[in-house]
This record gives sequence, C-alpha cells and structure tokens, in this order.
Amino acid sequence: MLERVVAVAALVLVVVFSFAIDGFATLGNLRVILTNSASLAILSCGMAAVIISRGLDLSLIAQMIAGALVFSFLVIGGTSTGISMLVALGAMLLLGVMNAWLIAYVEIPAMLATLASSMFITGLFRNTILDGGFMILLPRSNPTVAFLSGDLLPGLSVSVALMLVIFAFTWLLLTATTTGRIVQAMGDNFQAARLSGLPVRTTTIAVYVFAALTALLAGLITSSASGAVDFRTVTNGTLLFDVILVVVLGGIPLRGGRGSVRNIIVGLALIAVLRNGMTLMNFTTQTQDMLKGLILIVAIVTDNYLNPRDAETDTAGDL
Amino acid sequence: MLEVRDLHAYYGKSHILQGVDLDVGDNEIVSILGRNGVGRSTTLKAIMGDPQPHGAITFRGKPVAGRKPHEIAHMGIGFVPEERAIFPTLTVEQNLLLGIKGGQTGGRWSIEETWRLFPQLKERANAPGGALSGGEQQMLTICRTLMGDPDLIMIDEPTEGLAPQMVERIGELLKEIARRGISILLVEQRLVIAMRISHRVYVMGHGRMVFEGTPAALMADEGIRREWLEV
Repeated sequence: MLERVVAVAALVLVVVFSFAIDGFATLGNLRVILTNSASLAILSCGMAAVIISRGLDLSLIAQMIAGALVFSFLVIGGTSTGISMLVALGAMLLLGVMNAWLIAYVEIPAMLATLASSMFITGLFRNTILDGGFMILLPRSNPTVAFLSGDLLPGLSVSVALMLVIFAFTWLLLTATTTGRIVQAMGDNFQAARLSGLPVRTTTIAVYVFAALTALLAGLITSSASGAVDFRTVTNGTLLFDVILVVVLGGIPLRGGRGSVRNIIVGLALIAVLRNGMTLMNFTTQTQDMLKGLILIVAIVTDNYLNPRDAETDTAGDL
Repeated sequence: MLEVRDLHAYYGKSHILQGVDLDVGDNEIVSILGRNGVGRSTTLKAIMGDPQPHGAITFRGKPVAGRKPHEIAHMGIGFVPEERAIFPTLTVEQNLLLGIKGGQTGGRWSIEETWRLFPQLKERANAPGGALSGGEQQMLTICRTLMGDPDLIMIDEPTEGLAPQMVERIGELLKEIARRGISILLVEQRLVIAMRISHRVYVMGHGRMVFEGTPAALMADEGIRREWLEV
C-alpha cells in the first residue's frame, strides 16, 4: 500500500520536474540519476535484507568506508589489486560476523549493537590506518578504480551494471532460497522461528555478512567515482539516512517480515528523482535534508498506520 | 524419554515453578491438567529454555537445561505454543516447508500427509498463513512442528478458543500423531479430550505436581478433582 503511494508520488515528481526543470527529462540526466544512485541502491539491498529479518544495520556506512579504505590503502602501498580485494573482503566478513555475533549470540538489540560497532569501526580505522585523519586519496591510475568509474558498454556505466547484478542477486536470495524464507520467517514471527528450531543465528550471520559485502561494493564505487575514501561520509553525511529512507519508503516495514527488490526500486525511484530534482533546482543541502526528514516522518507514520503492531509482532527490543 | 526433576522457574521475582517432577516415556501421551495460572504452560516453556529452567531436565539421557530453544528443537523436542506460532506473511506451503530441519531426510510426517488429513490447508497452500482461521492456524502450527520429525511434541492448549468441530479434528490429529510413535506432552483445559487420549495425566497446583496417574485413577479420585480441577 505504502509502496503504491510512493510509486505514484515518484511518477508525479517526474512529471512535475520534467515541466519545471530544464534538462531534467533528458537521456543524459537519466544516466546521471542512475549512476549517482548505484551505491545507494546496493546499500539498500543489504539494509533491506537486514530489516526484513527484523534487524537494523546502523554501521553500514562505516563498513562501506572501512572496506574501501582497506582496499585503497593496500593498493596505494603497492599490493596487487587481487590481494587487496581479498583482504578487503576478509575485513568485511569479520565486520559482518562481529555485528551478527553481538546481535544473535550476545543478544544485544540490533540498533544498539550496530550503533556501537559504527563508532568502533570509524575510530579503529581512522586511528590505525589514517593516523587520526579523515581521508585517503585514490589513484585514478589503478585499473580497478578506472574500471569502476568507467563505462561497461556505451551508455551503461559499470556502477549501474553492478547495481543490476546486486538487484538480481538480492531477488534470488529473498525469493528462491531457503535462507530467504528463513529471513522472512524471522521478521514475521521471531519467537516462532526460534522455537521451531530454524537456524536463526547462522541466518543472522548470513544477513549481516551480505550487508557488509554490499557496503564494500558501494564503498568501492563511491570512492572510485570521487577519487577519495572519506570518513566524513560517516560522521557528517546523511547517506545512512537515505538508505533507511529508501527501504521504508519502498514499503518494507521496520518490524520486518516482508519485502522484495521491487520495494527497494520503488523507494529508490522517489529518493533518486527527488535528490536529482532538488540539486538541479539549486536547493541548499539544508533544505534537501529538511524535505527528506519530513518525508521520512510521513513515511514512518504511514507505515505504522498501514502495518500496525499487534500482540504477535510487538515484542520488546526487536530492533 | 523426557525426565524433569525439581524444576524451578521464575518470571521476574515470581517463583512460578516450585519443584516440578515429570516423566514422558516412549510412545506415551501425557497430559498436564490444572487450573489457569498454576504453571502448566510455564512448565513447557521452561523445558524449551525460556524462562530459564533451574533443575534437571534430560531428554534421551542428554541434559536439556541451559541450551537455547533452537538447540532443544534440534534434539528432537517439538513445541507448539498456545499463541499460534505461524509465519503470517509466508504461504501455508512455505510455513510447512520451514518445519523441515537442515539435513533432515525421511521423517515420519510429510507435506502429503498434511494435505491428506487437512484438505482445506491444501486448497489454501498458496495463501498467506495469516489469512487462515484460528483453527486452521493451529493445525498448521502442529503440522509444521511435525515436519521437523520430533520424537516428542509438546502442545500447549491446542483447542483454546476453537469451535467444537475444530476441537474434534484436533483430537483426531493428536491420535494420528500418537499412532506414528511420537510421544505427546499435552497441556489441555478440556478434560474430556485429555482423559480420552492420555496414557497418564498429571494434575498441577501451585507450581508443582499434586497428582500423577492414569485417567481412570484420576476419575476415581474425587478429592483431587474437587480440590485442584473443578472451578
């Protein structure tokens, strides 16, 4: 229901912007919208899987920058691209397992566990790798960086192609695998999932590791495009906010239990069009933030109204 | 099969179970009777590990107390809680398939068996579990638990709030389960059903067992019935 309202809202925005903004309804701008939204879309796939399982990952952006930092730091130091990528993958695996362990084994609510791990990751990587600094510059000459920021085919950037691959993978994971059904069951009725012997702990690990891997991919795409890995994305940015906005606006309830790639695409369409239109109209960042905040409040109120909690779903500490 | 000795459990500061002793043997149907609030449901929940049990619980000679609910389920104890434990947005068929445990083959219960016994569930195989009636949801929960091929199934108040016709069907289902050699530990309010199908019954009062015997022995003991069962 919320999904339909948002889909209509996105369409209305497209029509209004097409008339109101010069250069909005062009093929070139569509390409810009898609390329600029690729990393947001990939992060949203990871966050959606987590939220459907009745979790939340507030450390997603910290993981994204940490993953990109590990890769860049090694590449700059002369390590081969392959080894650097393997080490970055290993680091993400560890971060995903750490989050899942805190949530599924130590049984800390996901919101608090990932809030703490976000601060821990940011502090740890800034201290150990950046020596207290914020950023590191990426050599554009590196073949992986050049590849990720370039085009795969004329008109199709690598980032957009990767976004489509992650969409397909997430769709398969959620609809065609037992893990996907367990993820949904956990959000649907966590207590029943636990009592009926479903592997809720290993599935939690799978979900948070998947989220960590989407974070790495998004981090590599973003850093390759900007030429820098910058922790201010975590400390000053609103990307995490945008990711949650996409998932909730798409109609995935925060209490979990259901959701698909279609929801992510709908939420993404509204946010991507809105961001692009507001930028073309020269809205200040503050105005953009204010509007996005208002939209999130309206969406959460609508979500609560359309997906009311009942005795079965209203369990303490479920985030 | 299941041995419980001196089981204590607490909700906050309330001392709910005050030394429960209980046995369930192979192929046995055992019912726990008693008034509301005496700790019958809490006994089943404490066996599953939540609330935390204090005391000795063994299943097939292995200790159960201290394990997590999903580990206990994997040991072969199925639990059907009083509140219907379905997955409301998954389809009926997906609900059933989720009951199968990883790596498990050749259980005593199959999806075909469920369809045969409950044609109305088959008709609604692709409907979300949340769209079923209360009785159908109860059937679905029991059948899903059976898909995990437990040796013992603990069922809490399966007929609570159901229409008389549905109550009869649940009774039939319980007999069918017993015919497969699956032991049953039943908490039931309706004395008639419990007396009809049980091999042994326990009566519970104030957090411990006050009677153990056959249904016939309970029928003969008017004092126990009057003191602990009649409202």
